[in-house]
Amino acid sequence: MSGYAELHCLSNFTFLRGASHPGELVAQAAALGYSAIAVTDECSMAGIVRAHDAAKAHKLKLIVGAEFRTLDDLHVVLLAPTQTAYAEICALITRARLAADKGTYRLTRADFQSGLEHCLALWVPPAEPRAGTAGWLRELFSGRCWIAVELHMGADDAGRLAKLRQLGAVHGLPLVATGDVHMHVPQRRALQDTLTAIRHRCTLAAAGQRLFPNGERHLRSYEQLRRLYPRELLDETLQVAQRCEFSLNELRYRYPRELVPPGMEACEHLRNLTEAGLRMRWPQGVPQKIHETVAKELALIKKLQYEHFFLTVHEIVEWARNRPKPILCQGRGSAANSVVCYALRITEVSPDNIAMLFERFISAERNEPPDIDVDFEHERREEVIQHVFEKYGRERAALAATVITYRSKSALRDVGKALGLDPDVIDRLAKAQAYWDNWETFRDSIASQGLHLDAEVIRRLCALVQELRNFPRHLSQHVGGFVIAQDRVSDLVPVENASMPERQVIQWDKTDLESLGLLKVDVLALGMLTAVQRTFDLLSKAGTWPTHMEHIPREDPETYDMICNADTIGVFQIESRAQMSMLPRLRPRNYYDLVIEIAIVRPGPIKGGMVHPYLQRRDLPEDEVPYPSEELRPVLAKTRGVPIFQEQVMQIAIVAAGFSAGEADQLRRAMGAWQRSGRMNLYQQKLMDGMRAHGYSETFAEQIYKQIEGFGEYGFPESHSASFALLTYVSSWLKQHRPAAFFAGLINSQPMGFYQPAQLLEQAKRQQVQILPVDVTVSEHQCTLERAGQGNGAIRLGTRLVKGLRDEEAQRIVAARKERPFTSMAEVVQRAELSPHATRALAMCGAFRGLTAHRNLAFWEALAVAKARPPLADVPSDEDLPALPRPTEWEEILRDYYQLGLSTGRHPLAVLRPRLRSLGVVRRRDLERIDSGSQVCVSGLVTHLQHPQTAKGVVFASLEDETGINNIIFWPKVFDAERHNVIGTTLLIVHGELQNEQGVIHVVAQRVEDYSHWVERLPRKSRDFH
Amino acid sequence: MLWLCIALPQLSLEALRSEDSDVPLVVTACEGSARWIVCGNPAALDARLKPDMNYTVALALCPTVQKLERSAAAETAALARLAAWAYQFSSTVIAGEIPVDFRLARSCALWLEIGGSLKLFGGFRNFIAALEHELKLLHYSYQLGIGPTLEGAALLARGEIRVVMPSIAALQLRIRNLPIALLALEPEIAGALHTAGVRTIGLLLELPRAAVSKRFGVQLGNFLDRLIGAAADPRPVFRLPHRYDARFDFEFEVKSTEALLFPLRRMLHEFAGFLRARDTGVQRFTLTFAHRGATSTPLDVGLSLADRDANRFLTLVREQLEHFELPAPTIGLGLTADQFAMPAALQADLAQGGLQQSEELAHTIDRLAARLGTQHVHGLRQVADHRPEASWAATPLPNPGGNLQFPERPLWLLQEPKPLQLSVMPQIVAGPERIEGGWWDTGDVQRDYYVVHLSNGSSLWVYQDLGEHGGWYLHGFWS
Repeated sequence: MSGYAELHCLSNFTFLRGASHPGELVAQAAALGYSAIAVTDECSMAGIVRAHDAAKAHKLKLIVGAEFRTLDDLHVVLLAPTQTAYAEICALITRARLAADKGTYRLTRADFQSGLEHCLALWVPPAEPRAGTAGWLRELFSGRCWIAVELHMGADDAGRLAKLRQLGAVHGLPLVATGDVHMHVPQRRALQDTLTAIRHRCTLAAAGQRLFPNGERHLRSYEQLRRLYPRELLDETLQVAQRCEFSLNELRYRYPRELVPPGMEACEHLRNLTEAGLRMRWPQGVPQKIHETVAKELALIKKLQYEHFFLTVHEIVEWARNRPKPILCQGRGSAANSVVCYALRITEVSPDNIAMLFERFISAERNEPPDIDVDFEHERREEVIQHVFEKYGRERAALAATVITYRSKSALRDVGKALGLDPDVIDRLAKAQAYWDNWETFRDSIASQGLHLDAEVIRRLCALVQELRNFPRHLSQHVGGFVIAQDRVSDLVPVENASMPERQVIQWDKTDLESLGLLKVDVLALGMLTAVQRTFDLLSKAGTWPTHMEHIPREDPETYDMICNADTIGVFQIESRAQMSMLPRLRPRNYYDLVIEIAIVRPGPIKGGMVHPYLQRRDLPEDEVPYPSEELRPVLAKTRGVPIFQEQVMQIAIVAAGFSAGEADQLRRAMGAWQRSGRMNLYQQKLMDGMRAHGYSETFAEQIYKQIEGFGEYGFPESHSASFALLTYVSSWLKQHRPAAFFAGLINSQPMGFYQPAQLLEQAKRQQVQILPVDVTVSEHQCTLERAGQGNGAIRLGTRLVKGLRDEEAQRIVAARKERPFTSMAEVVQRAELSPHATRALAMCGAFRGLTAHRNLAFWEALAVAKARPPLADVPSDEDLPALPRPTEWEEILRDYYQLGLSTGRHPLAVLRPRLRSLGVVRRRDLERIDSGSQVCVSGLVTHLQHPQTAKGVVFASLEDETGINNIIFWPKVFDAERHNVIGTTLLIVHGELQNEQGVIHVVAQRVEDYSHWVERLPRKSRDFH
Repeated sequence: MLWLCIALPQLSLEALRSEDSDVPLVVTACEGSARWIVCGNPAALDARLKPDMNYTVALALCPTVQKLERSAAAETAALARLAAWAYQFSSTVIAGEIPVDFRLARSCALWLEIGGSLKLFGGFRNFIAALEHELKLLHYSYQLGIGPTLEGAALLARGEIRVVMPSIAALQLRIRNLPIALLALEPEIAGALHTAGVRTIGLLLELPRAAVSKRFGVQLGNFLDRLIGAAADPRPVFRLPHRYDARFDFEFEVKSTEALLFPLRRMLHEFAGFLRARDTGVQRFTLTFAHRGATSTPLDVGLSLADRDANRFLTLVREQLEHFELPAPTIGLGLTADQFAMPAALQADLAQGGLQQSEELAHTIDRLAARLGTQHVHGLRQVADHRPEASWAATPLPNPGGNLQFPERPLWLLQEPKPLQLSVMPQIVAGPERIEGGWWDTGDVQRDYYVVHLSNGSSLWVYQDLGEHGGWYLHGFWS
């Protein structure tokens, strides 16, 4: 028997040590003809699933293990021959990680004393091995311990080998060759050196002996190894490998059983709950078709034993609904839009409205898990998470991880530091590398920054940054993906501390879980649910309706009119510039139109070129809509022959390319894991061949493939879109019919959404909502509703908007006022125990307007508030107030913006209007009456700068004036020429050509003038390139 | 009392640089994690860079901007030199404090009591003309103000009001409508006053002093009192030192002698001012050129006759510099003189080193150095680097030692590895030891080292180059 198995190998999931992705290591090991490879990251299993996936693809045997270093100088690699041994290693990692801060671990030899009865151990002895350690290990791992011989062409390999041989002979420990591999190929040496420097927070020049003396820690060919190691040591690797029969495929875990009443079968319980739900949903009687679907769904669920998963999700949702103050929630995802979930009230999307692709719900063929995400009110999701931890205990419930990877900028910073570049230079480079800049143009952009870097340095920098990009950097907590188990989670996967106190995450992310077919429950947070709930709260307080989602009238024409006019600031999902520019063209008139609208303005359909064909065919009579084939008509009928949803792409693969349902599901997963595996090209060929074989045109096949590519990162299934569309409709209705409550609710739920409070309030003003300023004699902490003379009410701004006022202080103001009204500013300060800082903040924004003559005097008084408050009896002496001038309107607006981020007075541009008019600037509202193609000149405060990846270098800017938002398009050339006038500026005047297409108004910029000096003290509010 | 204030708004920059340049140049200071502009040269102002601007913003506006780090020490040194210079115009000179807060750095100033000097210089006009003539030679940006109080004169200077305010009453009237920004108050206080609507000095002075003190501390009330002469303003008066010792540190290394002449000119003019103030001359002074990480180089300048003319000093220094090679770039200049108008006596000892070795070793090294030249004798120090040629460095004597662990290495390492033509492969005793590294500086080293025995009994350390060039090299000898 000849050959080699690498038994000691670190991937880049040993952060800042390993210099190759797990997949690269496995692929290279396969290419070198290794018999097996062990991926043994340091106290971690975070990279093992990726290695497992790659090993499956390359048909190479993967050995699961981990490396450990204890505080008392033990360096050992543990390998898992069996699942029991795997659980032992996971438990050890968990113990070590939970005993230390995030990202570190803590072990001593004592931790090895028990609980590792099934693992194999490879001891990596120090330069001067101690006999005691050898003896101790032999006792502990009797017949399961080897001395790892790692030869890297050091100064005295022969001496080292001789020493270890003697050690082994004396203590009866066998020797085995291992590589201490840190990279898959020697070409990664520079990167590995760089990682070492980053880890030690020093420059490469200063790293000295902390670097490895050479690049030998790569996967070496058998011939190379043969020259370095005695044959028997290489053969021994195969002996060890042979004992390691464990594969991650064996992992299964069981969902909690306690939700099923004693004596009842899980499927029976689920059927009972479902049937009760159906009766509630269809009080007049459940249609026969629904009965049939349910029967089919339940049978499949039973077959695949997913009852516990559905019951677990159901329990969480029920718990949330039955709170004393119920938590709004809504499920989405393929499985969520099943009739079972509708009956269980996991989703509100009725099967009447949407057809399901059952195969995506659960893939029978491949035994892959269903997908349900549940959104909860943003601010109350933590309660749900706590509930899950309490109900199942911390040993049985843990959150999935998110792997944080190096982005260009972070890679640039770290590599730059390691190369010893000046911090200022790095800063400039990082800023120059704005992400619309193509990496290839980096060199030029460096030159244009006036930086003169050695060409060689730039070359190194570029090469290293490119290699380092996408390297994992640390594990973070997934937003809400739970793994809940019947037994301990740590038998399955190690658990470690997250940065949040008392919060633990498993070492796998959601793709890892999916890849192994493990179920997770997503408990997500959705700001819009909070906003809607708060809107209902405000309405309920005002004694009006609606106060529940179900009360909102369906399919209201006025609401759709508003949507068609793209008047959707603040509305869920369709408020972005891209969405708004599509609305007047798409003209949604019913719920399903909204479902399409939400899905179509996405990188997938846009990249796949689906938008225009859909627009063209939308109004065709049904018999004129072209379909690629008769078989595809049912698949594409509801989207006029154009594939828009992820489900349709899968079904096309089934119908047109001859995929099985299970294969189509694999295709979907490959789309999601695009970058990770590169497995897509496998499917590309199959898809194209299949479609050709079924007689479809090359163009259509190309188109479908392009769209799949686009979906890669932003796949949007109909099932998600359907859930979102419900919320879009609800928020649109509220905006149209209850604008005061809606915008107050939105502001009370900030931060969320696309717009800042200032822009939301400007929109509210445009809908005739009166905005009342912050006033300590009436304002609550949150924004509230007040009755106004006419129209639909007024928003009284809450003190939450005042920057510099702490929540407790705001609450003390309200509490003190309830006891008795305030009569003077000094009294407010004293009774609400305001700090000098808070008093000044309130004075700045005019919150004492009811108690003082003007803000300057209020501020003068605020300045007198001492840091140490006098005892209650000692009321501040009423000194004579000096004759300070009253602030001007402009000054008041500036202070409002400074302290509140918005102004209840006139819009700054309204004040500037006479000056703007003299420059020939027109208002946003006036644009509607100007012919398309005319030269215009507009102005506004910069509120957004955007550079969508789908837009090929085009930059979009939003300029707000007192009548609306000017949408500006910069073609790349213009933007490059005007860049300095656009980035970082507050007030712009743009000269350009007006474009009005079906009511979608843009100004294509030709020339820009920066007038920021007119609003010099106005804080800049723009959200740029996020 | 009548005070002349020389305000130095650009001192932060000019204390670091004596000549102007066309390249936008700013002095910056860090506060927290942000970097801010303290002041900039005219080219920087042209590029729309302003004091108090965030440096990142400045970079976006003007990517070619160069930056210096603010140095309070340099400012203190410059102000001390100026005070000594100013002594020729007045026997009461007050040097202001160097503000710690960078936003106040532009308020730095110097005061001269001129009531007593006017007559001496033949009246006000002549006095100012003489002062400005001399001041211009020093290349500082300045503003002048003349008033009855220190703060009053400073305020007039900053306000660029070149009218003498002989009395408190005239001062108060003149400053009423000036913005409070000119007072150089702490930025927080200035901001709070602005927000309360207090925009002019007049309004601030009218506010009840107690109310002002309650809000901003007694310091502000006291400052206002000193401004209008309602309170005394005692300050330490600058005393002319017996020994002249001036320093000028640069922000960067100056390599050419030519570039040194700018700062030298200013220093010599300041020196001449000092000499005039003491009414004396000098026959010998010492220039010191400071170098980074090395002993500074002194240059003695002797004159045949005692003198105090800056231009003649400069000519002399320039001539001497032409025949004088500086061992390293200069990062600072010193000018000292302690014998005034007296024949020179002592020779400075060029060889004064800091050897603290035993006398015998020192003696040996001295002899070696004398025989081989000092530049050929140096100590050794270990460097943590896997590359053999980079694992040691020359160091000034004495040898600091070290305790790094290296594999066994030959004692005699060739300066440059020597290519080997191998006809027969010699007997390999040990190896290969692979060494790879250094890609981040001189290019990558990739070598397999062997210890080989030659038939004549000697042991060599040779390597095979694994890089592009390939081939065998001799790198050292084993003893």
